[in-house]
Amino acid sequence: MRPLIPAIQAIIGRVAYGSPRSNYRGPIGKLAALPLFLPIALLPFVGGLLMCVVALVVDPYDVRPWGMAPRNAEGVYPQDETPNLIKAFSSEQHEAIMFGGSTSMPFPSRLIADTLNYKRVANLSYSLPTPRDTGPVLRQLVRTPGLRRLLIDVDHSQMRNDGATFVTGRTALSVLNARWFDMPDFKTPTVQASIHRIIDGTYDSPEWRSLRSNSADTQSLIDKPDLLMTLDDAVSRPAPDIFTAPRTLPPCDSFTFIRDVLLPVGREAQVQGVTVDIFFPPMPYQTYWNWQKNDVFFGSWGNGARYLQLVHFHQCIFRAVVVAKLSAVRVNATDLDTAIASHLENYRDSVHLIRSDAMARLLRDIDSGRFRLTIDNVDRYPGEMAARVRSVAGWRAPGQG
Amino acid sequence: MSLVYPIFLFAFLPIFLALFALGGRIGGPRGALLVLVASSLLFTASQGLGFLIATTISLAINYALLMAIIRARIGGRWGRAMLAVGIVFNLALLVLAKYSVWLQWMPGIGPLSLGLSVAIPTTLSFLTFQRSVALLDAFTACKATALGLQSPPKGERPSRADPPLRYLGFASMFPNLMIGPIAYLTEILPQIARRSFGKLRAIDISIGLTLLIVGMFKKFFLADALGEDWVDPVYLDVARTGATTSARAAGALAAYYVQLYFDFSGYSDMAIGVARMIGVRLPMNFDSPLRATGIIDFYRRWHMTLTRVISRFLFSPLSIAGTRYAARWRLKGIAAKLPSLWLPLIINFTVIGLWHGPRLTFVVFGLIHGTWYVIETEFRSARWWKKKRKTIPEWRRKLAGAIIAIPLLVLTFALFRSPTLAVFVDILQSLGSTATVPQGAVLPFDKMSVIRLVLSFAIAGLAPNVYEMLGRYRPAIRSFVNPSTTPRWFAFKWRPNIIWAGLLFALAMLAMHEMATVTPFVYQVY
Repeated sequence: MRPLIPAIQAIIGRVAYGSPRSNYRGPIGKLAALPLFLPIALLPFVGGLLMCVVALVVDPYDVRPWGMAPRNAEGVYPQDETPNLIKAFSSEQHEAIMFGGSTSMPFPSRLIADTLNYKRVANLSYSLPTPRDTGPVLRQLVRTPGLRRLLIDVDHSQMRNDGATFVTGRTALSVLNARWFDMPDFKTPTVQASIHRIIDGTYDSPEWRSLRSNSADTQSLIDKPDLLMTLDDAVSRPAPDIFTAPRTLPPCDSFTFIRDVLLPVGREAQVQGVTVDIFFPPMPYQTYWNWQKNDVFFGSWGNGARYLQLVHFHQCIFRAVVVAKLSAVRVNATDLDTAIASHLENYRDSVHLIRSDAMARLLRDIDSGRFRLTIDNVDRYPGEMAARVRSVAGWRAPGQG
Repeated sequence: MSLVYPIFLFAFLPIFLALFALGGRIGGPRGALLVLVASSLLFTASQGLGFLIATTISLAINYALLMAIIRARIGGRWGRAMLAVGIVFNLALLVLAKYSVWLQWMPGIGPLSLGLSVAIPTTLSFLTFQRSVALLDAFTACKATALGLQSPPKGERPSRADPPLRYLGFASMFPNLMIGPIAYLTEILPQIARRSFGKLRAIDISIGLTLLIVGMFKKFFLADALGEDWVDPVYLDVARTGATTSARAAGALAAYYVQLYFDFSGYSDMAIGVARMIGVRLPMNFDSPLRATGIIDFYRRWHMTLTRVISRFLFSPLSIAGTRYAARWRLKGIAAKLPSLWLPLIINFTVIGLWHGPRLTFVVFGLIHGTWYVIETEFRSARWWKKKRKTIPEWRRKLAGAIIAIPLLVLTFALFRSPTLAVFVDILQSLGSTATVPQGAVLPFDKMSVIRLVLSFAIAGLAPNVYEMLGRYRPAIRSFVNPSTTPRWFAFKWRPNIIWAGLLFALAMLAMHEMATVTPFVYQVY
């Protein structure tokens, strides 16, 4: 053992402190003395060059005037890849596209196609879209060749007026604004999927499929005691202002979503002959109690009952559609559907749907227009919503007595 | 396109190197220089048409003035006037394109300035200095400059094409075009005029590659991630809501201290590395500045090429004028120091602050650093201190200096990062906040970001900088000779062997993993 220590010290001394090559001795010294510096150090650059070539040839995000025609797979992309593919999807023929936040992300495109009777459908929802990125994304999507229907899920993130964007939104914007040399597609998984595009004809990767199926949270809310306890606490010991009417509500034209997203996209849709269905995601009515008490994530709430602020935003959307005479745009208050929102087993947490029959019902609601807002029923909407939120006042989570 | 784009690193650069070698083989040094100029113009064009037009016009005017200065200095008159015209032209272009916010009220100039700032969104700051310094070089060292521009490579005939080609090669050279390092004409001319220019050497490629990879690692793996995880979300929160928790504020301050260093020094390493691949040594820009033992030491290690240019252009003339003024009026003590040292220093640092852009926080940053510099200069030159310092061991003096300097630097960096003074004050107030992170809130920093922050501080605090490691190969031109602050055990020395190749391979892979989102260099906006 003893002779080893000075030997190791000598090796470290030679290699780390850089004694001249002529001093290198022993097997490691001889290996170190081989003229292999450039071949090894240049290897990543060779790999980088190959990645660039593949990305430039395939152009998976459709950011260049050249490249192979986009051919995307159906519903197999991981969450952080979807915002990259907005432009590529909008270059392909699609009859219907769904766009929204995490509340519409779980909808499989096959389910949408089967329920609404379309052949080519894409769900391009990504988490936390805000008005700033939703506008450019929808303006891109509405020009999709062959598009007949655009389903837009509008959740409370669209109430933001602060110009904020999140990582996914920034990704979508950077791809939409990318120049050919920006290379947003310079990523190992993207290059792998691009190689599949060359070989198999579809931009896809087996890893993504397994990632998607493994990452799906299949446990229902009713099997999550900690979440149920939080909801139970919010309902049994509610925030004092849960039913307080907001003292002030922002004027409708102050919403960035209405000004910068709804009106321009609605007009463009009218020109393109695309029907736009805006829908509000149904959430368990306990969630509104929880938001009132615990929501720390959304900084744009004003004073008073939060669900009433949300309903006010929804009414503003409807009124803007009527005033602007956007005949192609329909507004669906699907958050009123008790058949979905009153059943906690439909959800994986306090916000997101999990069961496909509930999702199919929501799609049928939209298709049939059962909860469509009209001039006749729009004023009743806040009262109906209030009744539903009040209806869970005595609710206790299972096991909480 | 800039040095961070994958298309630059993996396509533009190898193609350029191949063409450069081909140009050198076919046309000798002139052929290689022609390739360098053409590639640089292509690189310039990728910044947008406005930038290309502005820089090309500036190139033509600067070249004409440079030759006029040389002729005037050698056999004619008006040299000083030409120099003044050139510097005024360069500074005017910079001011018009950069300070439109402050010039809007001026009739005629306001709209012109706004138009220019829209047409040229990319910074002109660095190339303005580089070209102005070239004029100054021509004025102060006209014979050497003339010789450098005109003398043919050894064994070849003189050519009329040499002066414009060499000047273009210097003034438009793409590695340091955007964010420096700011080189002197007299430093670069002998290198591009030599006979061996255009011949790629394995050792130059190895050294250049090492600098490039280290720069990539600093930029992509450290700086960008630190900004994304620790700094940007906190500043965004504070700008929106006016507050954050004390832990997040402290994290942001600490992270920005290292982020700015790794971002800017990463760029400099990459630029110096790319230039070194074609056998050109650029001046060194950073020398482990985060271990500075005071503000004087800091500016001998931080953005060294700007420090030397500003002190040559601004501080020295001001100080000389002030000293003459004090001598003429027989001023003594504070009355003499004020015009000869203190005011020039304060002006010097205010200009450094303002140079970053039209923002009040930059001005305050400059004023604080200027005042600090004055205080430290006075302290170090005080008689009692000179006596006292002999009795204190050096390590203890250095340690005490660092303990005082580093927190102040962290705070002034935070000021530098703040868009407004109000945001800076909010950040400082948040440091004392007792608010806790709400239960269930997702913190922007996970385990990996904490590891990255600790690693960044470990590298900045203990590791040798790349120029120390490459020391025996003279990787860059040293503007200041600073004593090494690297602990002996960590004073690793680079050799082009398989072990270092493996290490660089690993660093390059880590950098490439983070490369998909191109984040501009922090200094690219200044």
